[in-house]
Amino acid sequence: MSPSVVVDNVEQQFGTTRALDGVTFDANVGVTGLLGPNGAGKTTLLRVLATVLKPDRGRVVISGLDATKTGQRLEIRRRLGYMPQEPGFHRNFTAFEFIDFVAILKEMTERQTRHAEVMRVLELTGLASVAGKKIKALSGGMRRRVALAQSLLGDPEILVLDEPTAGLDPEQRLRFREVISSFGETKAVLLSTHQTEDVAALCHHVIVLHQGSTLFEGTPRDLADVAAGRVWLSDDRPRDVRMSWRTAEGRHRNVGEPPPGADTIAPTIEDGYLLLLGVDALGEAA
Amino acid sequence: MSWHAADAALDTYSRGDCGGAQAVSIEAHLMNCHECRCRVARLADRPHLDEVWRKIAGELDAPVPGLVERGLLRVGVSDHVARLLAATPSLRLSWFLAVGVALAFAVAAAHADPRGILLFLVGAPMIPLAGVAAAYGPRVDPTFEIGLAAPMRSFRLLLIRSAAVLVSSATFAAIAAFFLPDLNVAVVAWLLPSLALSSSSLALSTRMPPLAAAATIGVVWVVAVGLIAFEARDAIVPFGAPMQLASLVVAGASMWTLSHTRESFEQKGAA
Amino acid sequence: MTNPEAPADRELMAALGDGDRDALRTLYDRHSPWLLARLARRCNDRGMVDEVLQETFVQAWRKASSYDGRGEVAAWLWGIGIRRLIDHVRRTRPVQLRATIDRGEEGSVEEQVLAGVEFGDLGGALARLSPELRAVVQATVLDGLTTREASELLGIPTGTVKTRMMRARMRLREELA
Repeated sequence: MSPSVVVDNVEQQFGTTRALDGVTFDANVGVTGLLGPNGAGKTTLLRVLATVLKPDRGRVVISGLDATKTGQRLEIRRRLGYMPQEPGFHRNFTAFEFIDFVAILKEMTERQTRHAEVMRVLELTGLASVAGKKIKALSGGMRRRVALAQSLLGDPEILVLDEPTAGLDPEQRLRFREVISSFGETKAVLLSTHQTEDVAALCHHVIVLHQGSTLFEGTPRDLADVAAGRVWLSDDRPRDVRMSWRTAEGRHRNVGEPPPGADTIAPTIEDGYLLLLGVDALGEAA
Repeated sequence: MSWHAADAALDTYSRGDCGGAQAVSIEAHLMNCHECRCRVARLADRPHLDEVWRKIAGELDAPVPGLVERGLLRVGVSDHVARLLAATPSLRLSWFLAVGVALAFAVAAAHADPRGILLFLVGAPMIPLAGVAAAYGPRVDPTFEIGLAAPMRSFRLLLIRSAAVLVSSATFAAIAAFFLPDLNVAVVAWLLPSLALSSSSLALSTRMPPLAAAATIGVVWVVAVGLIAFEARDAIVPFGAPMQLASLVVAGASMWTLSHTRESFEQKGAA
Repeated sequence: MTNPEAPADRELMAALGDGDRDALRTLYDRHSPWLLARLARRCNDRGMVDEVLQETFVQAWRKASSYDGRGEVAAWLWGIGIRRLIDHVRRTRPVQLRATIDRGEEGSVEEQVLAGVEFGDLGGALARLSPELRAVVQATVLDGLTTREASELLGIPTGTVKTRMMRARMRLREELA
């Protein structure tokens, strides 16, 4: 069966906060992006998908396996790789040792095969030459790669990546995207981000999450089209507009309700995203 | 070098189909000819050689076991379990050192004052209690989330680590006990309470964070013993048969609870 | 592959001493193919050959400083490799090896000619030796093994090694006289 993710009406409450409020969507082979500002519930949702968190209500079915049933959940975990947002590392562990440790948690008990698999994922993420270096001596970008590498152990068919490109410089982000994109060809990859560029570059399927609810599900093209006819150029900054800024050419680019006869232009994914979120969320989303 | 082996000859040689004398000749030549070695390399089965390389690199980068881990391997623990244990904070050399100091202090107290033995008997069971709390959980295990998402049962990891902590703590306490002023029942009176405290803390951790559970059990223990000791004539009485029996019951009940709630260790937010 | 820019074996060995992992990889890419072929001709257990290859390079990494800079790096590597092989063979009796590939014939005229080019007159005579005698010569002369090591590798008693060496020497002396 080809990898698939079905999320059905998932709810999660933490104390008085409603982190997830009836989230429903599907994902298959390819890269699915979870877009949303901080606090939208992305991390919570990904933790539910990774079977780390049990939702208060709702179902998660991964490749036909029900995450609420113990035996099936175990099987899901065998087919899933999870990259948390801020993975902790044992102090004094080298990159190799850390990934080797996770490999043991993934039931690879035979030493030689396990070590070969650790080398394989290190090579995949370009870390072969620093395998013997302590993680605390590695740069932030390399640590993220270590976190990604452990999720690839066992060649899982589902990858759940929480903000994989966060904190990376543009060059590193580009390389990450290449790697993730290649996985999207055969795996179901679900990643969260608050950057529309990641979505534009990588995803064939987007879900916009805000305050625990899905505001949008569709292709990046569809997301951009949300702002169709709502983006226009003007010479001065208009009043009463959702978003406006001065472009390099000196005109103003505006997102909102255009006045009649306005000079509308083609919308980008970011425009659609901003329009969906509303003014209050714009501060966080920028 | 004036003579080089022909490509065809090198090809048959690489494949292993070469006749004896010719092979000897080629081998002698290859020892001295970089160019022909390169030509053999071009004919090689790259994927196979890459696979062997991966094993080489893996071996070079393989974790080097520390002192504690080597000790574990020596007593027959399998290497992957030893690796899991080696990453436990309460199975590190620094922890053992601290435990040694604490026990030495307690033994000294026993020598200084007849009631000092109480310090030892109250303190010794709290060592594995603290050790078990420091062996598992999001606060002390950096890979906790990844561990939950991984196939290996978290409960199993918890048990392995707790068992190792208990055994090591008990060993240290037993050694320290032989230095007590009177070799009476005090030498083993702490053992069952150790088991009771650790297991009840684990059972309680299904309801609250592990550190809070351990702290709660610790407080209950100190208060309970304090109350009994206050009434009693000498320090050993609180640790007599009733206490041992109670410890056994608590340990048994805790283990029963654990076996019935073990699923809750596999996920967060599970009932 | 014969890239004039690429570092020479000796430079790689120096880099190895400094802990340069990439140097080991280059050394491996260069030498593992012929090492594999040569080891495989002395042992037809492919699994064992792979293990020996692995151990050879791990040891090369760890004992890089023991290369004294004299002689070919290839020879140094072979010395490690053949001794690792003998070690394995010693540990896994009954032995599953064959002495050499041989079709059981003496060398063909072509082979004799080729051998002749490499070894001079000796080559032709070598080609005319019987397979058992040639195997012993190969082990002691080409592979540089002691009598004991040769006996372990070939799975024959040391006495037989000595006898065969004597016969081979006699035969070669007759031929070359």
